[in-house]
Amino acid sequence: MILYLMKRMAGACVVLWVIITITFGLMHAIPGGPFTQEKKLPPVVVAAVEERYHLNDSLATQYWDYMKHAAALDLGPSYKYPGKTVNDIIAETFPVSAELGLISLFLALGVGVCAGMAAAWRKNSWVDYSMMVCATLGVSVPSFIIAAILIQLFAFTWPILPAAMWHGPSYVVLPALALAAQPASFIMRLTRSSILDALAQDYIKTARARGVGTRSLLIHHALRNALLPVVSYIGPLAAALLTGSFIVESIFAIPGLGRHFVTSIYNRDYTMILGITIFYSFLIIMMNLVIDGIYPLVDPRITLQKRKGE
Amino acid sequence: MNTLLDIQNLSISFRTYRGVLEAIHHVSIVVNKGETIGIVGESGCGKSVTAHAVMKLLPKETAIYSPDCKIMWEGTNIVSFTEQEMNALRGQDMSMVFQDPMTALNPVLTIGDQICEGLVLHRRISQQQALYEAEKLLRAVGITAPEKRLHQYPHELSGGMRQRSLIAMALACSPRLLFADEPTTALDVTTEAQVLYLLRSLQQKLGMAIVLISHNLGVIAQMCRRVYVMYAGCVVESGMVEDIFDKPAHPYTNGLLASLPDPEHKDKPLQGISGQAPDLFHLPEGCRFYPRCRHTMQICMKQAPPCYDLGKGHQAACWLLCPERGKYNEIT
Amino acid sequence: MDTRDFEPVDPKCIVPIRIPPQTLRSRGWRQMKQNKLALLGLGIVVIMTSIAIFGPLVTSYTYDDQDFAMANAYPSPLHWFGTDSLGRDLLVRVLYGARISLSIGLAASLINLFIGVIYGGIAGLVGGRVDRIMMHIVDILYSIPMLLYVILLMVVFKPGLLNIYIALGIAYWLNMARIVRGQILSLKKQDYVMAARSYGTSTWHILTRHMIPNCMGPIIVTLTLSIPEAIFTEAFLSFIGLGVSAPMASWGVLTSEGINSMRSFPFQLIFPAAALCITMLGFMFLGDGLRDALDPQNQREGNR
Repeated sequence: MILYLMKRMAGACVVLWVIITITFGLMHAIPGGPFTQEKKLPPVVVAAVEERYHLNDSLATQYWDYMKHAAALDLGPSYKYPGKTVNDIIAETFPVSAELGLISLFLALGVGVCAGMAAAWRKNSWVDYSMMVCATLGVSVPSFIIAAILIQLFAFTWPILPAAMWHGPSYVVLPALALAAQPASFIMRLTRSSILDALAQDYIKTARARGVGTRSLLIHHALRNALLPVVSYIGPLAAALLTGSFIVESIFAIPGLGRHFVTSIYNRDYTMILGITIFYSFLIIMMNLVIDGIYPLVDPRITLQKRKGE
Repeated sequence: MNTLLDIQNLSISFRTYRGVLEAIHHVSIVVNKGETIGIVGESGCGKSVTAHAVMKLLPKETAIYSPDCKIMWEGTNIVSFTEQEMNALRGQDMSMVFQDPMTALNPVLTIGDQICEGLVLHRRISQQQALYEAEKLLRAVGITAPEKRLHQYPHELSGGMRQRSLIAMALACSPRLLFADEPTTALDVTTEAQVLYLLRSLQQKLGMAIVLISHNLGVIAQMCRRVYVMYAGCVVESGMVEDIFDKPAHPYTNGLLASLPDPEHKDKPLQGISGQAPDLFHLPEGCRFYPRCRHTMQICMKQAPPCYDLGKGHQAACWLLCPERGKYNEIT
Repeated sequence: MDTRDFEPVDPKCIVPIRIPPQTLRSRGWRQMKQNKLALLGLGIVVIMTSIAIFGPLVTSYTYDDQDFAMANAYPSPLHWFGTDSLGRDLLVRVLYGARISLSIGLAASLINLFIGVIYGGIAGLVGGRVDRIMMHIVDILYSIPMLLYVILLMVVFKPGLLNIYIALGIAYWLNMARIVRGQILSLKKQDYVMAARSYGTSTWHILTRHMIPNCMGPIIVTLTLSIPEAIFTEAFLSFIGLGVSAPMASWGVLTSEGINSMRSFPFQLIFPAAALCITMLGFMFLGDGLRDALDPQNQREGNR
């Protein structure tokens, strides 16, 4: 068990190293370096800036420095916000994103699984059809369009909710809906099809032959088997919420990390982009580790040491 | 009254994307209390569909019961029963042992959970008591260390052990009728013998009726009192096991028996049945067996044969048995 | 009934009943035809593709014709979809957007296909240690959130059509590689491949006659579903300012421009958004239908 955990940790470290190397490499592939801009800066300023950020050192030294700092969880200074480090900004803005993200995560999981169950239970009824129509729309409409529609409907046509900013519970509703809509639709489709799959299995027939009622059949027998694909989707779900947050936070003007990321892309704030990318990657890798831990709880066939099909 | 189950004129069709397909056609089967009957035939002939149809386990969306069919359970027609009414019957009065022990157990629930489920449901006892009962059941079907097995998951048991657990599960509420749908096909020969022996001894103890479905004539001969032979969805011959094996009246039964190896006459060549079972979408007109029959006559290609009674409950559906045929023989 | 009915028939005269053979393909097509949604999807995809190809040829404006006198004009017979803030005809821009968005979807998917099939094919065919190492690399890459790296790539390279093709193409081949490799591995174990090998069929023959046709189903399905994903990703990139550069415009660019003026000129959002969503729906329906029809694992009846 401990050995396994250590192995996984080592694996995660390798992945992180690959990530940092790729990001570092990409950053230095920029022709002319990060401070070459449309506006020409005076050579003295350029030299001073390059001195300050050690851009004159050899690439190997810079890489080594960056790795050392990253290992110490220090993602460096921001180019565009002098005096602030990337760490400062993450610490400042991430709690907001985390709150929104977690609410959306539970919203997507709850709504998706329940709706999927309902659709599977009432297969080929109007419940099923209307849910499937919603879910298909949900996966094929980009989240910024959903956000725009939500704002138009609930902030302007019927002004019952705030259109932007972040000052309390009522400010969470629209962004959380916009963020959760797409993953919820996906989870719904996933749940529905995997429940139908599970219901077609032989053991369901055995259970029916024992006189088990429809409700118990669904909840006791099919759902747990059907949850496996849903659990393994939580990792990609977290990633989807992350990237979704870039858009949703920008549209709703929420002072979270996602909006900051988008701003730093507009500003070409390279250390910021790199730092946040690494931070996000780290987050998702950790998320995957946690999910691997949850897996055996759902499926007794999977032990931590051996995942099915590996 | 001695009849437990009386299936009359049962026809089942399935809606498929290629159109409607009739899987079994006018099947009539009688099961008496405490007796073992066998249903035998090639794979795809409708044996399992018949059993599943009686327990109403066929998918509701695709399976159609013919309007004139009757399934009389102790004098009550259960064709029109709702799912709830069936649930009261299933597991309690009739239950089933399935073919493949590898897939018939829910992988995420323990053996104990799955056995107790039926007990709690039908006997209305507590989970605690049910576990106690389940342990007794597992011991009765010959599983060693049952208290340990109760808390294990299906993937931790061997195939034979899973099949025993399935039998324990089916017998949990002492049903009066047990469908055994090829219970030994997935097992190796030694386990097969054990399972069959187990079934027979439990039957004697509990006095239940068994419908044994198999393509293995040896198993049928060993276990059953009466036999139904099915071909392409129809019962072609039925009767006492000794009549079927000693005086088969239908050429298909004859062919099945001739394809068994006979250890006493090793030099006698084995005779199979030529051709293959028909695709149910492209059934021949007239008798369904004529393309493979050795005795095909003109009439076989035009009209399906009626059932002829040969006495002592021995019946067969073949034109060879038609009394009119004697006249032809006289002329020629 | 007369006595002649009982005349025996010579077994040689009995014509065996011919059962028309059913290939997976004919069976798949039959299932597709019954799936109305999939047909609808196919229709949408075909229409959108022809619009993308021929649409811009028959219009009287070009995508960068500016007409400040007509800026932000509402839809009218002159400009069916209205005009944008620079007075450019929105219909024409949506038609050109179709070209750009669909070409991004197609190009990215084809690059995926190319890399994925080669990578997955090599891993699956060679097997053993090579396979283990190659799949380990895929696993590592898999746990990296790819969209972030597409963003990074786009930040580093200049935003532009070609770079979008490349960035999307090289980021999303992992899935294809996994599917191809899994398919080939399971095919290698199939009895008919063993059988073909046992009577001395050449490797090339096994590959072209047995492996590739049987891989086609999942590959086509993955390909179909990766097109909307690429279009989606491009729309996302456009939204955060990393899309194709002006004056060209994809649907993503048009939509995000539309959001900015949504309050005053809703039509500027509605038309490109509708085009985008309808196309996505079309590909989704088509992909789902193809999966139901072509996936050999999914041949159970009544289970969609």
